[in-house]
Amino acid sequence: MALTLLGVSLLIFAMIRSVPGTVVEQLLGQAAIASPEVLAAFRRFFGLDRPAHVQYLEWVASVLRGDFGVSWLSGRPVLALFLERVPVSAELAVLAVAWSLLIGIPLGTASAVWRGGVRDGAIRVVATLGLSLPAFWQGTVLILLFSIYLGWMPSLEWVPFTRHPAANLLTMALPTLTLGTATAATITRMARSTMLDTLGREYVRTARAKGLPERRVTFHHALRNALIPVVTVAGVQLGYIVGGIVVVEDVFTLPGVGRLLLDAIFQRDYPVVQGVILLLAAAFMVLNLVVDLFYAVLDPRLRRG
Amino acid sequence: MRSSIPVSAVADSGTAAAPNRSLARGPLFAGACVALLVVVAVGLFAGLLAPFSPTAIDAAHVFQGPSPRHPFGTDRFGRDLLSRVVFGVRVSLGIASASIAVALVVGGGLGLLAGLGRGADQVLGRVMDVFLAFPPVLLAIGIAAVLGAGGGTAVVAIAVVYAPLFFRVVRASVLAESAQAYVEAARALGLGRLAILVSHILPNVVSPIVVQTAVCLSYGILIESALSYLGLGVQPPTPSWGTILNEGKEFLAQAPWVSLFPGAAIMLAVLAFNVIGDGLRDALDPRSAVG
Amino acid sequence: MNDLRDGRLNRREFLEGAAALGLACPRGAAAQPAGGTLTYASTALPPSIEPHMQGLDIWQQRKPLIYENLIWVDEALDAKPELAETWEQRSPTEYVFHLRRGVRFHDGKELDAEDVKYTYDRVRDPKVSPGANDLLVIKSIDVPDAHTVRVVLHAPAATFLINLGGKYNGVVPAGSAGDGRALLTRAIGTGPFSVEEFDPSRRLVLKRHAAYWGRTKPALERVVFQAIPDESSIVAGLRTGQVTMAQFGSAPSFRVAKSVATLQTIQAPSTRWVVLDLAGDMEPTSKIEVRQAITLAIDRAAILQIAGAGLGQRLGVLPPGMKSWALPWQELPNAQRDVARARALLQKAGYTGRVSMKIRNIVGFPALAATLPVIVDNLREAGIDVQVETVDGGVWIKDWIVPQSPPTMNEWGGFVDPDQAFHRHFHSAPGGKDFRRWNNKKADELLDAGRATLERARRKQIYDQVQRLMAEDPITIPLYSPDLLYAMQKSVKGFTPHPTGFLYGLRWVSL
Repeated sequence: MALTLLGVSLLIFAMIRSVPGTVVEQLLGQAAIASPEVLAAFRRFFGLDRPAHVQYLEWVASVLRGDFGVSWLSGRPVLALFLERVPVSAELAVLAVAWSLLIGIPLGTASAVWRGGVRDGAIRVVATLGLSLPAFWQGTVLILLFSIYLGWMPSLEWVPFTRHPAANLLTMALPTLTLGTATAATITRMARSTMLDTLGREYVRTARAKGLPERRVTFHHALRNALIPVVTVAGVQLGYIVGGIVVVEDVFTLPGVGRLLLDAIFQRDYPVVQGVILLLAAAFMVLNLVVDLFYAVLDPRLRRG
Repeated sequence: MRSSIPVSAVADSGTAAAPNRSLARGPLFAGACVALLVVVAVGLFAGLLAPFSPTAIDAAHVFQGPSPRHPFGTDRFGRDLLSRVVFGVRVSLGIASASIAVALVVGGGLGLLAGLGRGADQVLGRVMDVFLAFPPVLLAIGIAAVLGAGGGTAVVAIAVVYAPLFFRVVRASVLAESAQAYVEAARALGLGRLAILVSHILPNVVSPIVVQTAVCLSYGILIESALSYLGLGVQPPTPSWGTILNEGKEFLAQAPWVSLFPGAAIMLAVLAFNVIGDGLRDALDPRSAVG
Repeated sequence: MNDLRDGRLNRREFLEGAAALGLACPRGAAAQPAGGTLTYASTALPPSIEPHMQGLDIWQQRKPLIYENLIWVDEALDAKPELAETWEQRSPTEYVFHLRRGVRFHDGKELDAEDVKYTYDRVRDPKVSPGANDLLVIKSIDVPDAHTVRVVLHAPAATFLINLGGKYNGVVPAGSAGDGRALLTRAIGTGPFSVEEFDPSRRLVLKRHAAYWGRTKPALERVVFQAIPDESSIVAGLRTGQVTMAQFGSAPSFRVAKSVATLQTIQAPSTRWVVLDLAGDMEPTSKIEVRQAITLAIDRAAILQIAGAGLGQRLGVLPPGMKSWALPWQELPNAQRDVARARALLQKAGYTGRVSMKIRNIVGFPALAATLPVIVDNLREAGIDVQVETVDGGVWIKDWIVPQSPPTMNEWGGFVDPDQAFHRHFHSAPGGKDFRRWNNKKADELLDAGRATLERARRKQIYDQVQRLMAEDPITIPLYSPDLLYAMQKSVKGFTPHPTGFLYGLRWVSL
């Protein structure tokens, strides 16, 4: 993991520096054409004139000391900026996953129970459709529908759930819907197939043979076992949802980590870009680890293996 | 735009225990194949099918709603949107196919290498892990930002994002097949590495690759449209579905048709690939049948 | 002031606004009821609030609320007193400024002559500020007493006073820039508002400067500059009342805002314009016939209609916001589309088949993206095939400054005097930068004469000649000038647009 993080740090360091333009041009705008001296002075100011490997080693050294540096533009510590924005993104992710589990598991189970029928077909088509919607387009259409045709608009400033639960959830409703659509679709599909799988297993057949009512067989025996892979998928999706968060925060203008990152990339605020991506990658890996552990707890076979 | 899902996790749909495959192989699958064929045909014969030039300006007819003359309406430049969506097939599907082809060749090739040699496996696995640590969309945006906007850029960006997936699939399949009794038997018979690879392993790796390709094509279309939507894909006035969406987003209120039709086109194409991917998996991938 | 062609302000409100602004004496006597927060939405915020380094429009527009100068340039683009109560020109090269008494910075310190000297010395240092170019003519600044500043010039300069009010200035307390980084995130000016909170990706909050020197105090308690990344959401915010006021970059959103009954809108001419800049040393635009052909092939009426959605104006060479200088486009050559003549000119230049050229586009300028497809289609009709190349601002700057840009779509603006607009851009090196490699000796002579001539009428004649020259031998093709488009709640009283787009008008607004 440490090795992968080192790779990530190197990749992001090289990548953000390969994007044309620096913070200097962003700060100066068209004024940058005024004089080469100003450009040079600004480059020195931000240390951009020093060799790349020196900049990289200094950055890695300070990160190892727990110091992620300060934003070149706002002058605030990167870690503080990140932590300030995390609640928005975390809430968005958790709500989206919760929503998709709430929708996906019942739908998938129902689809499996109704296998082959019209209702099964309908659910499967809808689920595949959910996978096929571009998030930015879905978000745009939702905004169009709600803000322009229905005259509904969430508050401009994001309000923490703890301060004003209703306003918070209202603001988060459409973004959550958009972000969770693909995950809900995936979970529906996953739940259906694992459910079908377990319904065909021996112990379920045994339960059925014992004369247990079908409902009890489905919910007690099969569903519990079918949940394991579903939860795993949800966990993995939580990680992959990060990419969606950036898009959704941009479309819905939420002040989360994704916006922080996009703005920083746009303004070539290297310390923020590097720090945020590194933190995100670390979080991503920790999540995967947690999911693995969780999986091991749920599935005793893995514990021995 | 959608985050992709690790291959192992996508192995859903029907199982051996489920007798029902009719949907995947039945009307839906057939419908998706027909839809895809139609879309490809539209792309190939765009010049014949489009009623107007996709880039011809008509200042007198801007923002016209759908009508018999312009079934999809016109945009801010008075350009016929049907023609733009039709020509957009070429760009969107073309870029998606080209990039997945590159990802397949590069990622699959490296996967073969990794599956066969231990040393290569270590190094390549690490490198791929780094790429997989990035959310796909962000990685694609990052690469496109580095290379500068353009169609070629989009191909490279999408290929880099999906090469690691092909790498994983191929590597896993090769490893799994290598451990099979028949391969060991072949090895015991004194067959060379290459011979075993060609005669025994490759044929068995083909089906997961085919399935993976269909699924990745759908992601390819989504990412291409996302890049174009952000202005990082093909450059105007060339139409791609994402570019048309990008040009339409400003006018959502007064001309929603500019955004709705290309969005629907993306959705349908991606849907077709997803359904076909599902069907192919059921038909071809024996592993998914085991659960 | 007279150009509120499309404004919904009624006459009474308009007069109130004019009075509040105090055209003749900028600090009018009318006292206004205090209070309220004005939320001003825009798609982006300035990346920093450093007064002397940033040229971005998004910052320049907001800066007059926080920082002030010795003089300011009013709506008619004339120099008017601000921190200097009066001034005298003792010789063609010597100016003496008498500072206003009792001016306090946001941190409470009283303004004195040392602060003024510190500020302008900082700005004219080319290692610090892009504004140095405008102040190169200054030989020395000294301080006879605490409230007097004397400036000596190298040579007489017609634009000296105007340049003092230029966009890179802004008086700060002596020494406040520290090592050079201090003012990036902390603002200490004398303007009617101070910075209370600044987060470049969310909002910039200004608070009323209670000790402001003017007789008219700012009425608003707070001005909140809120980032809302897309304009349709801004319209939605205006509709619900969450946004008090906004300026629109895109005409479509403005049209929607105009149709909302609870809003008033203002449309006024600006000093910005969209152009296709050519390259004098690259095939095929190195040939004058090709440049003329391109100019004739482009349908500028259609561009205004499509890209500007009709909410702008055609222009000759200078934008309509500089109306005392600009020649109307009807009086200039090569202004009307003529594809047949364009084809003939291409043939004359020796091109028999189709001509191919590259046009560079810059990321993040919606007006350019909206113009380019029209140009590509227009030029195709005339026999020129265009390859569009879109680059990031960084690449644009790198090539522009060399200079080695291919033909490029640009948006220029913010100039208040033709010398600012022309000299650097079109005078050949070393006097100017000649970014487009025009290399026109006649233009050099005229531009030098215009700079050294102090008398306004004679300057006007000179710059008329420059404009004719630029229309005859087009190295830059002005396409249209977008109007300033503002929408605000009906409760907003007393806003006056400034042709530069700078928000001087917000200083005295009340709710």
